[in-house]
Amino acid sequence: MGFALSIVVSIAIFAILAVSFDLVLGYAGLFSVAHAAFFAIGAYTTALIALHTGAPILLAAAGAVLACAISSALLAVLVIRVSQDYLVIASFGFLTLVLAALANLPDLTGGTLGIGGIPPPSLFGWTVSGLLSYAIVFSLIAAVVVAVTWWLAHSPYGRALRAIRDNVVGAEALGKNPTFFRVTAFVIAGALAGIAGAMYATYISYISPDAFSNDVNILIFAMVVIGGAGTVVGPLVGAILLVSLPAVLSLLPLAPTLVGPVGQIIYGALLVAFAMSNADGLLGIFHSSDRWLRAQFKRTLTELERQ
Amino acid sequence: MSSALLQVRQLSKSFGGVLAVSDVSFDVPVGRATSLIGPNGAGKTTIFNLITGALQADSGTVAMNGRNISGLRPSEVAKVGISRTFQDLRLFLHMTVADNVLSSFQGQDGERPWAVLLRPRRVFRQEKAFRSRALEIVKRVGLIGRANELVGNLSYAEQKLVVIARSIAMEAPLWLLDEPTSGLDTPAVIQMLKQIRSLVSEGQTVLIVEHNLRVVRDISDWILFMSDGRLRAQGTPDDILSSPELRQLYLGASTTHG
Repeated sequence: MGFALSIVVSIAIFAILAVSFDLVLGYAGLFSVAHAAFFAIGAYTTALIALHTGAPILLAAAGAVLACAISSALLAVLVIRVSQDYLVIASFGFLTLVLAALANLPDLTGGTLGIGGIPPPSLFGWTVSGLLSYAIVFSLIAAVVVAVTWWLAHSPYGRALRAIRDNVVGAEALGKNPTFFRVTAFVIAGALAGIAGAMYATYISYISPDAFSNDVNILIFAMVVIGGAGTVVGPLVGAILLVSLPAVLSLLPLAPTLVGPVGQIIYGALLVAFAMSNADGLLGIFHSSDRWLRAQFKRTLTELERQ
Repeated sequence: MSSALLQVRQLSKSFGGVLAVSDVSFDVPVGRATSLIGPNGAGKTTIFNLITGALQADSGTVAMNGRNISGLRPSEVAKVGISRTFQDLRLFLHMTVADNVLSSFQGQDGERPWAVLLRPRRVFRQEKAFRSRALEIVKRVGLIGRANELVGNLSYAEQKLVVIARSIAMEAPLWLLDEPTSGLDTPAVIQMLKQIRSLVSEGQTVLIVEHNLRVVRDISDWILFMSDGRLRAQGTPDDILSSPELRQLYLGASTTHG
């Protein structure tokens, strides 16, 4: 039971990460690969504000969301003008920079040792404790974030993002300012990743740079691609699938040391299969509108593997 | 002659020493169809790019309704009320016909993410109204059966009608149409002409770059003739198209340049 609940908690956190990343990757069509950086910034900012100022955890989380929005805007302004290939590299550089800063600023971040003793989330005097409470509260938060993202993606705002993705010059001729839409997509996605970071920090109570490696980055990317980019629901499905995969494997008669590697192989194979085949992610098999993304995925994957 | 909607004054642009547009001045009268013609390489599309801000002029000004719009970005020029179409269409191929048209409406509160989040009901109501207007426009250009088809799956002739539908939805006082009939077979040209003619008869101001001289004669109230980056002549279709000198310049140059 406890194991299942911890899976639910992870799914809630990764659902937020995958769905928010879909705004940038699927809707804006921008191949930024720095989403784990905002997850990390959100977690660390929450921890630092809570521990150093003793502020209520909700306030610390709000600060984390703000920090993520600002750093995301910064990344956007820096990288938005470069072409897709360079965007992959520039955003990956940003992620590397953030991860390096976490590991190498011991006075601020605790360095490789990380930060412990982060207080649990509490609301109006009620403190979340016990896996069941976490699972319920985090699922509710994730549901709200997914719903908000879905509404944004299916609004005229999401339509303008897709229009700019499909043809920038054509969209400009209709009065859309590409910079406005791209920067806001980055900021919204970054802020939502900050929520996931705050949730993670308060749940696990101890954070270190290990938790925000490039593996996590690629995992988020894989959830979006495998689930179906540009669909919101697809990345949600991707998050559920890829988080539960190791759990399902652990139920099989496999040596415990093999569970991790086999899981990695399966999701790696799925990622390559979806990026290279004709399918637009799991959801795309059923209803698809974004064949454009496929060619891009292939390119981005090659870039990522080169890093 | 009626008053000018667009005023182009002494516009010049060179690319690496080659004068693409040289000291060009003209007016686009309101409520009329004006054609910009000339051999390949005359600078017609460059004029469009200078008006819409896709290119910045070396010198000269463009004014819309008396307001100087030189130096504005393409998205700002669009908001001033100039709709521009492209030879390579620049449609949103992975979006439906309806979504392409919906993208073209101006003043959509729902394009601001905070409005989507803070005023969802207002955005929803507005979207509903835009949706029914979009379908009317799709119907008007004869694509109602294709409204929910991805634009990438349409024929070229149908895609060109989506371009017109998009311009209608923009409700811009001025249209710049870049070769609306190029690449179309005769029935499609006739259909396109019907669309443009009906819009002009409703008072839409258009400036058209067009190679098909029969089309030009058919729809133009006024013709601007360019060659080698200069405005050589302007006048009524009868004046321009019957001038042996200009005919020679047009045909002579177009045979030279293919």
